[in-house]
Amino acid sequence: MDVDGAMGIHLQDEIIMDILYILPVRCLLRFKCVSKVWKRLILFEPYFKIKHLNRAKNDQNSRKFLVSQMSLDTDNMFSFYSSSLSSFSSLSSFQLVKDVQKLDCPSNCRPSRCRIYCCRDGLSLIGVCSYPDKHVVLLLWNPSTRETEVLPCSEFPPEEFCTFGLGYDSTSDDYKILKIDPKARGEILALKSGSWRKIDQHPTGVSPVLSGMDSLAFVNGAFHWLGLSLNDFAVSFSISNEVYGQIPLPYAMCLMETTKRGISVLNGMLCGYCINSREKDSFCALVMKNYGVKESWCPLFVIQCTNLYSAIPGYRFADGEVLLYTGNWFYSVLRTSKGPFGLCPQYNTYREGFVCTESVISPKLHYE
Amino acid sequence: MAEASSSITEKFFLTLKSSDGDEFVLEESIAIQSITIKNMVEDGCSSSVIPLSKVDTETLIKVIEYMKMHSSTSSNEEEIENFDKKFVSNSINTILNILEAANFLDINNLLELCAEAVANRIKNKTPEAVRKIFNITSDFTPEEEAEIRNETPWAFEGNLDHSLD
Repeated sequence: MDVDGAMGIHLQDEIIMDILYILPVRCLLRFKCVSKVWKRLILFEPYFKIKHLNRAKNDQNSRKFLVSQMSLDTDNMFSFYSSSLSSFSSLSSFQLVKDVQKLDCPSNCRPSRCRIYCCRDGLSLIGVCSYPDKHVVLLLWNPSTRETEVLPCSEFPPEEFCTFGLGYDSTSDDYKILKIDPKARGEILALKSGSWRKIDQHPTGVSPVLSGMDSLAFVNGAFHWLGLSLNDFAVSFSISNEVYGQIPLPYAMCLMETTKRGISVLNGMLCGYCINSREKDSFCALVMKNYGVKESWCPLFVIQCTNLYSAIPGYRFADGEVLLYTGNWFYSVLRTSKGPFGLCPQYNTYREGFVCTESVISPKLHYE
Repeated sequence: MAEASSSITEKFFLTLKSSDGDEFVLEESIAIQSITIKNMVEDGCSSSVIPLSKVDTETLIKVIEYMKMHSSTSSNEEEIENFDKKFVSNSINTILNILEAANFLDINNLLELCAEAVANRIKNKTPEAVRKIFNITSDFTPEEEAEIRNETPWAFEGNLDHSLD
């Protein structure tokens, strides 16, 4: 008890964790060689991972903007760039971001095409298409630890036409990937199981409408997407008990003349959006403040006369400004509700971007 | 938590005793920022001296300084902010001692303040410097350590700080 003394500090694990959870992933990877105890806390303590993640989620400096970029330089067809979001400000429109760090390509193959499907808790799901055989390999990648896992093949390729979602299931303490194709077929992969499993189709057999979305919206323990002929509701699919449900959509999205409807997640809330063709292609976005409560849909902003082919609200800055991933027929650009938003080199060749939190969550399958 | 309307009518005082045997008299309303002390008061153990066997005099003085500043109704936000900034400029060893005391006394604000300060001070340091600061002897063999470093060599690149403060 009384062996302390000013210089001989031996801190309890609990206090060490109180310090370490504040640090960026890069520092943690350096400090795992301090001692066996530190290594265990950093790599294997579930409580620490969650504590670190929850802090990072609320910290601008821990957010990276991850971009896969097609390059005309044939040596390196695809690159991943990550840029610190703290250097982004929604007010710095037109400014190029300087601290772009090129990340290692997650695969040693020569990809001809690459896509980021979705990001969550520091993990990003990536599809790499190798040139000769055109086979899509799915990778789960943690850009902060640079760990990659090649995921098993699923039953119904091709992946190109599927939409993915990635979520954490607190019931089984596991990350799960849901894959939905336009014919309403679905498969789920739990990292602990290590293989894909078919899920039941939606009870009414409704076809999903996924063209306005980049990924399945995961919030409140469920994945969400829109259904054909389902005008007033979004489909929900619970990650833990795999039960379908319905979430009421806002009136603005139920109109006949809306196109490119979709749902995404902003600040942990469902965000509904659409383009209204009767209103000169104005784009509107709303958030559902209380999950499942129709009356709680609250308008975020409207952009008049957009000429946009599609737009997806991807991230909400601290000042409330929203980053939109938009596209026309030729290329994708970033903008906010106020105007264009500058991005890394040759921004007209950028494919898709996701905001990703730093984490020490491992992408490895861990067969239990 | 600063209680805005602390009752002026009657003030209770507590006596805190450091591990070095020094006694400090403190207003109860200030001292109960420590949940550990608050629980003792509620359990009726506060009539006599409260022994804090894990907190030395130097550290206790700092902790009391902090509690006084953070409970005073006269200090405004700016004052508190400046105080905190100066407070964490103490040597890293002092802050680690305060951090340990804050954990024992269960003063959450102080714990967070010190943890963040330590994190900021060590984030660019080498593992060797961190070991010295935390008084840790490596229990890895040189081979094991080399292997860990090899897993993520990029985390060891750049201008790392060897200093101990």
